[in-house]
Amino acid sequence: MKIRTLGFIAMIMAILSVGVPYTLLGSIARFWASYLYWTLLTVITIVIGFLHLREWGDSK
Amino acid sequence: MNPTYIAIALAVWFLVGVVIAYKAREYLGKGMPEFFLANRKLGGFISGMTYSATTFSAFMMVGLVGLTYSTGVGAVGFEMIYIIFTILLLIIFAPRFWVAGKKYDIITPPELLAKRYNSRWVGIVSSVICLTMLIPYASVQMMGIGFLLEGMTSVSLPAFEVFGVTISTLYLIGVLLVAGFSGISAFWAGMRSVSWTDAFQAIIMLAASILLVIFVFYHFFGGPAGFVTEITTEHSQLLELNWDLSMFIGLTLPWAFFALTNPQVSQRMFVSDSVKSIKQMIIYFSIFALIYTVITTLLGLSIAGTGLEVGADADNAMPVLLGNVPVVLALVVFVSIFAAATSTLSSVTLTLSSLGSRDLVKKVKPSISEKLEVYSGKIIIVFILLSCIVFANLRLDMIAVLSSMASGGLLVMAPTIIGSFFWKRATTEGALSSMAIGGVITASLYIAGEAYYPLGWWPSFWGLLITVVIFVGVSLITEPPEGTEKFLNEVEEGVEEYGMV
Repeated sequence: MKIRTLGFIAMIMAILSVGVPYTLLGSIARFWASYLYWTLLTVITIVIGFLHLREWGDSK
Repeated sequence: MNPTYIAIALAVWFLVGVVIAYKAREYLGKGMPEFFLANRKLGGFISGMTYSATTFSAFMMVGLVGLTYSTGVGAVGFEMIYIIFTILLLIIFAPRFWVAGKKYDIITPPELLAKRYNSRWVGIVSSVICLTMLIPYASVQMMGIGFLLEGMTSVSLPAFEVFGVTISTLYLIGVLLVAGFSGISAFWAGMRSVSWTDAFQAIIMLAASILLVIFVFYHFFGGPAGFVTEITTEHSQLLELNWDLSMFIGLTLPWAFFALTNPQVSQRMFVSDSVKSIKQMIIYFSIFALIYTVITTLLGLSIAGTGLEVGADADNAMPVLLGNVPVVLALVVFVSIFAAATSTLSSVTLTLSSLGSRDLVKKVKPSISEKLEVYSGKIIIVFILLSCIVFANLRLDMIAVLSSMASGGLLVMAPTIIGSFFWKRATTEGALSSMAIGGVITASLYIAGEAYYPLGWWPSFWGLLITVVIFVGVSLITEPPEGTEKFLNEVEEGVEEYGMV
């Protein structure tokens, strides 16, 4: 994954992590709304991170 | 709670911590990289744990629990966004910090900026910002434990006066204990002892929080399902997002860039011994952060569900909860909060002392020997801890303002740090003017208070906006410093060579 792609992902995450709760989920009083959404967004970032780190070399 | 129990629990923890710090001392070699960066030889697990214990302070189990208890799910978003951006920033910047650190023998983040912008003044301004913002932040760690000790014990020891300031004995004991342990772990063997004790403390922090949330779920709600039902039916307002957008952005912005702008964590991008260890550091941190955040926010919500009387101050939520769980569990959690405070304080102290000796003393007197440089760093550790003890005992309201200012104030360094690796046109003048003017404006807005926030938006928002405009504008009308191309090429070549692309 190129740096440009990671920068793009960061921007998408910034928009999603603020935009969606403040427009769609904020008024829903359930765990599966904002609470789960932010947790899932974090899990997705961790998975993207793991996939990226797998490409790093182990030597040297 | 009986203070004898607390004393015994702290004594056991203190003993283990001191033994670890002492063992670390046996491995201590000579020189600045050895003292301040453990000679860049930390393995993946220790790197990950010291990163986690440093970044997560007593704020998590006291402040974040209280914030979730009183304001609901907005606090979850605020903390999760921190994790999301920290992971992405670490993946992008850790390889570059690490390569530049090795290549140019860089020890502190301001030193990195001074190298890239070819100006000692960039390093000095950046160090001054860090020192100004982080001493109050470090004092708050001591204050948190002082308050916790006062709140959790049933005895009242007499207060006394020093220079007209009334000092509570129990509070002072809490402050001195945190200062003492942090001092020992930073002073003895620098980064090596701090990182080893951090690893021990990170494990306590996570284990204690897991035990507590399991107990709370089963004792108060009959299980996780009961907890979900109770919150959804009786406290559903906590699951709605009721944070004002300007407050959410104002608090979250500094958090999102925390990994870059806070030198006590960004310095940890220099310490790993290999690419594999950097990878492991990021992975361990990611897992630790997610679990710890989920648990602390669930604890905040669950305290609301228990119906315990917390009072007006949300920061009392955790002390009140601890008064209603078995003594042994309360002690373990208390020690874990103590560990969170000391691990953050020792790292901040060590980082600030490296900034003081490397970026201020060394710049004023370049001929100083490496031995004297380490010695000056040790004197600075003592000076910083003494300043923090005085600050903490004054119990000024101003401290609260200064500590919230800390994260927003450090944010003004973000454009300069990002530009140092990713914008060829970034200039010394752009870096200096944006940090200095941005820092003054942000600090002034925090001190002026909420009534003076332009259009209701928080100082961190305005600070970042102004800093970006100045940094870009001034850079475009000035010339990049000599050696910029070389620096950027060498760092990128190194990153490629180590396979971190």
